[in-house]
Amino acid sequence: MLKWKRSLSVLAMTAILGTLAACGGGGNGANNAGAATAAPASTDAAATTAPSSGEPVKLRIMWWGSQPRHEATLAALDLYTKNNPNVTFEPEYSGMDGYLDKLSTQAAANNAPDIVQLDPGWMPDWMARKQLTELAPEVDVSKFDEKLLAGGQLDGKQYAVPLGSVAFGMVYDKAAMDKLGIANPANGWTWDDFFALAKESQAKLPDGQYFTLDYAGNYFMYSAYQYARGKGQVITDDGHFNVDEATYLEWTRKFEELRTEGLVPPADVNASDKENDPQMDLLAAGKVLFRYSFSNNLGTWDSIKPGAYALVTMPRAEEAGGWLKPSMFLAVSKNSKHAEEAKKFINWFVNDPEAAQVTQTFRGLPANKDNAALLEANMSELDKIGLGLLRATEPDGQTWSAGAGGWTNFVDKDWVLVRDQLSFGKSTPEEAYKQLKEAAQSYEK
Amino acid sequence: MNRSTTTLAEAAPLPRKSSYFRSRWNAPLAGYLFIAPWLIGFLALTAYPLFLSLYYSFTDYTLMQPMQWIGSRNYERIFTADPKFIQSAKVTVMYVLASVPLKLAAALFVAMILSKAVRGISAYRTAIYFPSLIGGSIGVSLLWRNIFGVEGIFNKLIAVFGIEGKSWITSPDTALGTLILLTVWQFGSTMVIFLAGLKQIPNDLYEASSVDGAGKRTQFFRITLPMLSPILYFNLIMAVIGAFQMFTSAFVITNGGPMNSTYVYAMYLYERAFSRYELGYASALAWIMLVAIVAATVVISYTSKYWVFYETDTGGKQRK
Repeated sequence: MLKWKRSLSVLAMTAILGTLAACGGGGNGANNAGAATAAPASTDAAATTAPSSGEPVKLRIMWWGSQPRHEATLAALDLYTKNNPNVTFEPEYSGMDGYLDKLSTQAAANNAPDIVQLDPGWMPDWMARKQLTELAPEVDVSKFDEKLLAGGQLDGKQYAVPLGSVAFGMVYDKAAMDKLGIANPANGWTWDDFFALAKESQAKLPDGQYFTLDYAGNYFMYSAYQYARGKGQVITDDGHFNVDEATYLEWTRKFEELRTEGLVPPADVNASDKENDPQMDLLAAGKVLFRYSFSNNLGTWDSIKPGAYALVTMPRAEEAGGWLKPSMFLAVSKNSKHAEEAKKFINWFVNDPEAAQVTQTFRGLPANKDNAALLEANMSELDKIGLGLLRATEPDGQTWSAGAGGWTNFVDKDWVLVRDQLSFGKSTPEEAYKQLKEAAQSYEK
Repeated sequence: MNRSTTTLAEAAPLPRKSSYFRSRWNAPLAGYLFIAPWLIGFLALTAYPLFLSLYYSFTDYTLMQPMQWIGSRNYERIFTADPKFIQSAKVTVMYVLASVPLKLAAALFVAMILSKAVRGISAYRTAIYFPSLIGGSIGVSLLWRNIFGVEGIFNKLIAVFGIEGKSWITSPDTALGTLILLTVWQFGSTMVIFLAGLKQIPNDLYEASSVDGAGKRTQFFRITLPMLSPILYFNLIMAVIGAFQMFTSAFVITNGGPMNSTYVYAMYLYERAFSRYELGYASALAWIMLVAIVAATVVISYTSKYWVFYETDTGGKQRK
């Protein structure tokens, strides 16, 4: 009886302590949420008064990428800690899948990592929502191309630095094409060449292998096509839906043809594709010959099947189809308690030649011109192929724009729905256009 | 409460009568102390967020900007101009209607097999219950995605019988079915409760009925089901509530696709809250879900008097 009583009181104490602890956590969360609007000011104050160095600091940093990029980045973090023993890191890295969801959730709870990697397409949203800290003057951007810097600026302030520049083009399975006797494309080819090559390959492709993915409802590929036709951006910089109906119907009908001829995978297979996933990427699985790619991504496919793949410019029409863009940005989130140290790290990461040697071109050719030149001098064969696409796109490539804020979900969700409906044959090109136009209304301001 | 305050008033001028004070206070105080952990947890972690979200649901709140009171506009928008609300509600209702009966049937079926006195039965019980411990996790969702993918084990298995598979999780006709199958497979805790219920049914009933010539079928419908009905009632309500809130597998396995065929309500809510940061709107969606769950529970409770049998009931079904 006595024993039982004692254990019960222990149990009760544990329960009380546990609840109090949980309660403290909950209370803090609520306070943070309530003080969200006041937070930027207080963070700035903290940043200016924070000791600049010496104190042990742990920085949380988050990025997405493939295995080689993870390894290179971790090596760079180690090197930085070696040079600055007071700074250690808590890295959070993953593939692209689910990255934005995770980051957004953390940011909504005012718990975003100190340093975050952001896609250029998200920048307008993040800057408009005031989720980032200004990087000047700690981060030196004097060696950067103005065009690349613009994507990380709002009202003349630099909120994020571009990590590299990449070209948008296509990757193809050269080994498979040579084996099947299908001619390789050449830089500067046209969309007519592209569709002609698809037709030509029809007789040569074995069962279960296809020319390309079903891009009928793909946002990026359609953008490239609309640019090539000289019709400009799909979403204008001031936030308007600008899909040219005639061009869109032309594009979706061409893919309708490829679908009936069996040149793109059946809908369920097409929907199962996950870029860069060793098991689910249809190019890596040898199911398709062509897919779109950025110049820096070749390494990932090459690591799956070495020496098999090559790059070519995005097909063109009246204008070029491809473009150069900043590969991704690095920024400091506004709730960082160590903003000062975080900025110092970023400055090192993007400007220091030693850092560039470690990070190589896994985020594109470095945006810092000196570092780019340094790496170009002794580049691997693989990087040279990527550089080749970059140089071939440079002369008349389209001007990249981050576009208007608030459209991320439109690209990630509404276009994907239309893609599925088109490829499953559940809607016609005309209906698809109407649907996109209607969906766009809730995003237009 | 009233009695306590009067006691306090009486006790104030007589501070020395501490024994009196203690004896009148001890019992309730200890009681409050013991429920304090739960009470604090409930108030801080359930009640407060609950009513805060009710408040948010009448505002335009985007986290980064100050919130604005907009009255019932969120609700008006949901019911009049939100095709995604209708789509996700439809998917969720379909999911609830399909997954709940299947899950209960599977759990009951397995529980009946496992209630037999066979040698080593506890090992079987553990083995069958085990998957449910990890059932709701991301890991199992990923596993499921691989099993039912184009190159998955499931297709290789049916290929043995000459059936050509497809990508089950990326076909609009089969994606929801695949997720339902995952839920049905996670029958463990429901099964355990059934098992406990089965153990409570007196064996004499079966013996007596078999003397009277009742077959297995009759025994199941005339003895097992009625005797188990309170347990069934409990499991039904729990399963319905769980099914309404289904999120993980739809989020991880199919991401709502293809063609929104697995775009469940909780996913839509999540998307509004955490990728569009429309917390006011998402709160309104959450309250609609709460009302729907309460309504479903009330309906089930109301019908329960026609089919739930308690041993204390004198006449079996309480029809008046």
